[in-house]
Amino acid sequence: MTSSRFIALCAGVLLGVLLSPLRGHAAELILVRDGSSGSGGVTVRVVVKPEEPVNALSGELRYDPALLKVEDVNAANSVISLWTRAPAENSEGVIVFAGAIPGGLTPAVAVNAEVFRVRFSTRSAGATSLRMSDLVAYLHGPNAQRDVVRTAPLLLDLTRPASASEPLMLDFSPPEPFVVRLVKSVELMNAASVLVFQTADKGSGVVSYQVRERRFGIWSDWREAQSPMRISGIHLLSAYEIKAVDAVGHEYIARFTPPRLEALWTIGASLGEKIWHIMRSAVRWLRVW
Amino acid sequence: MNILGRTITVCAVMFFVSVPAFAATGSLDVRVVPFSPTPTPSSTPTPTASPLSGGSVSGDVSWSRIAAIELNGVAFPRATVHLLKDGVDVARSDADDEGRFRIALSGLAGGSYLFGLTAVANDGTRTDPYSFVAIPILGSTTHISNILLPPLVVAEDSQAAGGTGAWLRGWTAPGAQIEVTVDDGVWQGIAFVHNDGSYRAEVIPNDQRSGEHVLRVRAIVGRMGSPSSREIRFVVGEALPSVCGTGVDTADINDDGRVDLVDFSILSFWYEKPIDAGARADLNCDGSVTLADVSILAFFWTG
Repeated sequence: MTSSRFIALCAGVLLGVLLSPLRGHAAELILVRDGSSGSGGVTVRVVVKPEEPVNALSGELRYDPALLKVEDVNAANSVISLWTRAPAENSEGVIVFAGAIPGGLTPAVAVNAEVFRVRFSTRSAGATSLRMSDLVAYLHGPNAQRDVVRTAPLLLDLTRPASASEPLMLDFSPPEPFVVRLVKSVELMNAASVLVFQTADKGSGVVSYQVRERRFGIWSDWREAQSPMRISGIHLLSAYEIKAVDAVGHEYIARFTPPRLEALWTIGASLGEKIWHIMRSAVRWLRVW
Repeated sequence: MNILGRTITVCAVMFFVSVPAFAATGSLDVRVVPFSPTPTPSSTPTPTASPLSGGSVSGDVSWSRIAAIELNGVAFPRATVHLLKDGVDVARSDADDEGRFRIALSGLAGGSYLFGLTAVANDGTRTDPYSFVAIPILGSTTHISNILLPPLVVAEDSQAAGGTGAWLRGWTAPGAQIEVTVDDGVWQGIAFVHNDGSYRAEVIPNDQRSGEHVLRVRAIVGRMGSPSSREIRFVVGEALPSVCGTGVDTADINDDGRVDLVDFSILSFWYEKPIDAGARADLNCDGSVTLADVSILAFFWTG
């Protein structure tokens, strides 16, 4: 890295900040270098500081792929829980994201809430900057009003190539409990039977969902699943299990039994109990007799 | 829940405001009309958490590393207060006759959560969510107190043709004041609340300027103020045209009475895909399902 190049980069950033419009904005997206990322690589947190109540954000995080390589994108502790586009590398050098915050995020109670974090390894030494682009925020209101998002690039002075070491991950808990819902709506997949599910894992993040089906008492193999998930039809003797798996392997399995099957089991159990009582009474009567 | 015998108290969720005796900074006439709502049977506040059943856990899990949160605040008398965790309705509690509530949730993993509180009246109307971010500490109970929920506000005939103003009614903490702000502070005024927490007020811009106006209300108790309510639009002199995406019924796409994950699933299925004209997933009727529609859904979210 040459010092003149770094100074020129700083001057450019300063000029950009000075020339930016002075009007109000709905929120500020801040890029923060995480100091706790340990040796090797760079971890950057994207945090939102709302100036007005906001409830939806989208945008891109751009980086120089010649100097940085994405190792991991994590939204486990994100303030956004409804992702229409979970943060992921769209193309080399661009991470895109879009999602909403149910109930909105108000300025007084949200100080630097995390949107997502990215762990980079460094390919080579040099000065570079990360910057956000195409940012959109929607005010928390009934009319989806767009507003301005302020941001500033993050300057990085990469001293040497380093592969990002696996970070220390303290995750004591499985993904949070969740329920699976059966939906039939003309607005979704032509009124097909659809299973809907979602959960979160604050420790390491949910990395996958898997599903298996039981028919006539026999479970199928686990296969990848994504909500909303179309199913072929609710059979009388079928049941489903949805497994959420986090990054360290903890699992939570939610079961879904179709209402008809549940009713059948209830009736069956009730009938069985009655038959059992009748048989016991008959045996007693026979003994007395 | 207090696992290791440690308790952490946070009293940071407060909004301090300075309240003048009668803050009429513009030409706004707020008249308070006696309002006698139908009383509802009161119930003893019983904080309850609704655990989910039917699931199982596998893997190497240490359950001693969990956190809890306890919230104390004021809504309105006999409200049912719902706690939303990252948009999911996870616990509820009944407020007492003074509107005070206590709601607790345990079994939290460490991490950052977006909590939301909303108070529901017996007729199904609800306050706007009171949202905040909290990071419960493992092995401890985090207490958050002095929460004042926004007032429940219902606009009566605010969009009627030829209307001269907006009639508001609703509920808030007994003894509170209702601050009404019209058109981002062009007019301000305060309405007073009855002992049972009800209020009713008519907001009339004195200059009778025709056209659309926007108002917000918030509750003030002593030096504590609630967040503002959502925008309420009303018209003076002319009727409002019908607009897409401005009602909770619009966001409830599958008509189950809730705006929740199912509605979001429908939106996410159609997200940035070609959609038929008039499809309900296109909440703002602009011909496509975009983040704008998701924003409307998030605004009317009930969990």
